[in-house]
Amino acid sequence: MLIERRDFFKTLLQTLAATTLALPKRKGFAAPNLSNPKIAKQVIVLGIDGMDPQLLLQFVKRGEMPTFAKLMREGYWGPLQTTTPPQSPVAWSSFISGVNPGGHGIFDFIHRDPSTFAPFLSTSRSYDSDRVLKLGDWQIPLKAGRVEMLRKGPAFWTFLEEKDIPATLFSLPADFPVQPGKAKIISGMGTPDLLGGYGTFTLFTDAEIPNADHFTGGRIVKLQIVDHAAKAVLHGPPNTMRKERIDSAIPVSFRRDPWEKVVKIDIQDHQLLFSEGEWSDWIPLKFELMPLFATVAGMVRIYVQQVFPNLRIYFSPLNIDPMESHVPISNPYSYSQELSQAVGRFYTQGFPEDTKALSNGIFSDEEFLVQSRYVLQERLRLYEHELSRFQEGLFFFYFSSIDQNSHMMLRTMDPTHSQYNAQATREVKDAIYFFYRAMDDVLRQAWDKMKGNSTLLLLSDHGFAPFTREFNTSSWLVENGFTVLKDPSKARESVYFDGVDWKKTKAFVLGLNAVYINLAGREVHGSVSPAEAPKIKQEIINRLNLVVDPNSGRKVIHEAFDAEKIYSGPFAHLAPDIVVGYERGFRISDEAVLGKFPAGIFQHRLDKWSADHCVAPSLVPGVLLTSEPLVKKDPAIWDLAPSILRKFGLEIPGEMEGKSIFS
Amino acid sequence: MIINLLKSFLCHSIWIVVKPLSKLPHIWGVVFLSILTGLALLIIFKRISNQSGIAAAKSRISAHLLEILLYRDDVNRSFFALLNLLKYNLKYLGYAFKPLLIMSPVMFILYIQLSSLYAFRPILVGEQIIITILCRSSVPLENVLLLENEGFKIKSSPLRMLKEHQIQWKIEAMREGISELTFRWNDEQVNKRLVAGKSFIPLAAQRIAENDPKTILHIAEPSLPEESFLKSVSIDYPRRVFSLFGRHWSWFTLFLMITLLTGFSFKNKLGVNL
Repeated sequence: MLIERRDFFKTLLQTLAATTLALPKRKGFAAPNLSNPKIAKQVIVLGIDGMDPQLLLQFVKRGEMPTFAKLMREGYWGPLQTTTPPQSPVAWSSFISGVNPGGHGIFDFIHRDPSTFAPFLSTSRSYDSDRVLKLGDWQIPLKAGRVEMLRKGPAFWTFLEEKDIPATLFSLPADFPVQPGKAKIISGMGTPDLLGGYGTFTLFTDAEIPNADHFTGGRIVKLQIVDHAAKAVLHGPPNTMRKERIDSAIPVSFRRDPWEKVVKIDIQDHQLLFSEGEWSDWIPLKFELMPLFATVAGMVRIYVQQVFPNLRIYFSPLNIDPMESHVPISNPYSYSQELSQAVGRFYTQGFPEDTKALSNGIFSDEEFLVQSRYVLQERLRLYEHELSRFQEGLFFFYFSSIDQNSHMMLRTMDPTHSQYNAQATREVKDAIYFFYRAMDDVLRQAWDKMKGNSTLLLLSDHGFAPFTREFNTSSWLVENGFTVLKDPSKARESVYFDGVDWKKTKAFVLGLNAVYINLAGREVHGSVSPAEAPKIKQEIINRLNLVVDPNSGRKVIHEAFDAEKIYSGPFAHLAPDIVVGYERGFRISDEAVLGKFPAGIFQHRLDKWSADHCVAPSLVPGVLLTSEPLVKKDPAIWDLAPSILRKFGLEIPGEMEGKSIFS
Repeated sequence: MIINLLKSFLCHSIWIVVKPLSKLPHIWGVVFLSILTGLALLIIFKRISNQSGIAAAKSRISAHLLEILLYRDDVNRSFFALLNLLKYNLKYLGYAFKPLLIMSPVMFILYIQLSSLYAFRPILVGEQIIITILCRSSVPLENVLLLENEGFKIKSSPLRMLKEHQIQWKIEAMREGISELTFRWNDEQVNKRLVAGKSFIPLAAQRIAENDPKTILHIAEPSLPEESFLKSVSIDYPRRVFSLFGRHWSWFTLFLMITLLTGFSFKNKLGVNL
């Protein structure tokens, strides 16, 4: 149907008018004057993932964290209420948007698509190009693929952008892919490695590695060494330009000296020579997707773990190259390049510490610490560079070191922990302290930078608890008849729910804290009618709250939450039905998270990932430290976005539920 | 001896031309020399080529192209036009062959000279690179040493490749300027110059035995004596890259592009048939 030009303009005007009216009303449209003494000139926010209030206090009392001690005396410090569940993507999303999870739609690390039951990482989802030209074995995209950010609602800095208040945010969690705007941003946690996951290492070795087939987050490439030389292939991302999507790959060759502990590695144009125990700097690589036509840039760090008797060469997870990223990790695009040129390439994957290498027994505690310290040093270089350039507006900088090291190393300082090793070196026992102490220096630099009417905020998204007992929540649901298996004798063979009898299943576990009712009309295999759902949900909650560990007689679940009672907002309907808040010491087992049904309900945690925060939120509050007193009691992580906006003299937007913590 | 004299002459002659430009950003040196080369080649081409023959061949090519276009319905005529097109193309190439034959050695010499200046950069203080030596087959690799001095630090044990008679070390530059890498086997000693810092001087990425023809490619240092226990010493200097229009270019790509551009831009002004 053709449309008249007059009709077209009429429709256009009506649409514009409707759009304008539909915009949320925001007060205070006059641009704030940052020289106004009542308005903050600078707000510096330090995001320290996983900093625990009790541990912080314990370390401050040792007397070697003078800046924390000073700020605790002169400003405010205390626990910070975290989200339910206290998982990083959930809590940082609440920090960003000033709302509870029902307002931003992130409820766990892992979500599922109810219409297909496909699992995905909760903060972003990528889609291949839907328009391709097929030529033999090739498929050439005619339109770029896309990555979708799943966190909903406006981020607080978009309100600063509207007022031309400068904002720099480095390694911002739960903000991948970075959205275009005026703020300078590098995405943090949630940013995948080049393979699209949270980080997959590669170990090239001629040694036999036990359980190598069962590794998660790592792969072993077996070498055949002849005359002290070996050739292999480093696999890259799947080639989306090939119909069969085989992995892209780069040949790599190894050569060792017959007598000395030294290895030569040839990869692409790089000729590298390393002694045993040496780490490389970043090595940029190009994975060819189509000869002369398409490549993907990545980078890797290499560690020569052992030369004799077996060769063991560790390749870190392939990171997206900040000099040449193919996905939006930076705004503007040139910002990551600018930083790389100034201080060198840097980790872009959301979780830069190689925790999987330690979990899988590839790294020793000492090796993990060396890699973690490298991450910290790199972060500190970036921090010092960016802080020195910061003049006014908002400055946010995120550190992952305490979180990742607490997961892996908290056991080394806790004599009551089941994995405590009294024989460990002093360096290992003091690992956590080392990273807390480093944050004192970070805080001091920020404090020194403040001038005029400035505010300093330090926050963590959650604290920490030991994790010594695994609870197989999925198997518990089977035992209690809520999940039904087709053949219970094959329970252990089930991979991603493939042994589940959906017609009889009333509820299932997916994610670290989530339980879903198998609701008809919502879930693709739904069997529970909306009328009977509340009763089943309450029954599960009641029974979960009574679970006791036969090993110790301790209660396992601190509180199981009914999602309807704790979440509100436009995306609350996407939430799981029950959020399980475990007691300290307990957490869901790794296998139960993604549709497996391990034997028994409990087991000892043997993995070195032996501290966690996916428990009840009241047990692991975060930390809040500010340079000035607060007026609000019991501050929560969702109060910080509104507080920052108020500091810049802006009204708190109606969509934010948090309150300003400052006067 | 003669080869070393020739290398020294080639090195010094280009350095005399380039030295006044050395204070400018290096890309200007490449641009200036490319334009100069483009103009010089154009003039040489004019002098040594059969200009009238080239003009005639080009006219015949144009005429037969037109013939094909005009008589495309006439298969017979088109076929003979195509044959003629091929004939005059070959003739045109024949006319171009002689000047190319004469100019190729000149270009080769220029390539060697400019490579010594623009292909690599000295290593920076603190930067690590790989040194490779190729030994004669009679030399047992276990006994060959690299001697450390205040100019550099050895950062790895030697990596010996027995079949290839090669040894590699990783070293780190410790101070700016020129220092000597000294390799020793029994009482024999071989040196190779290592340049560190931001200075701009001719570099030799390799020092090769004088009986190896490849030695002519590295004019900034004399060849190794024929009787030396080493066949070559190589320093893995970083490649020099030039940023232009938001992309990184090697000196040779830039040189070729600008030389060609200059040639085509000035051919009419200088009355040259290309």
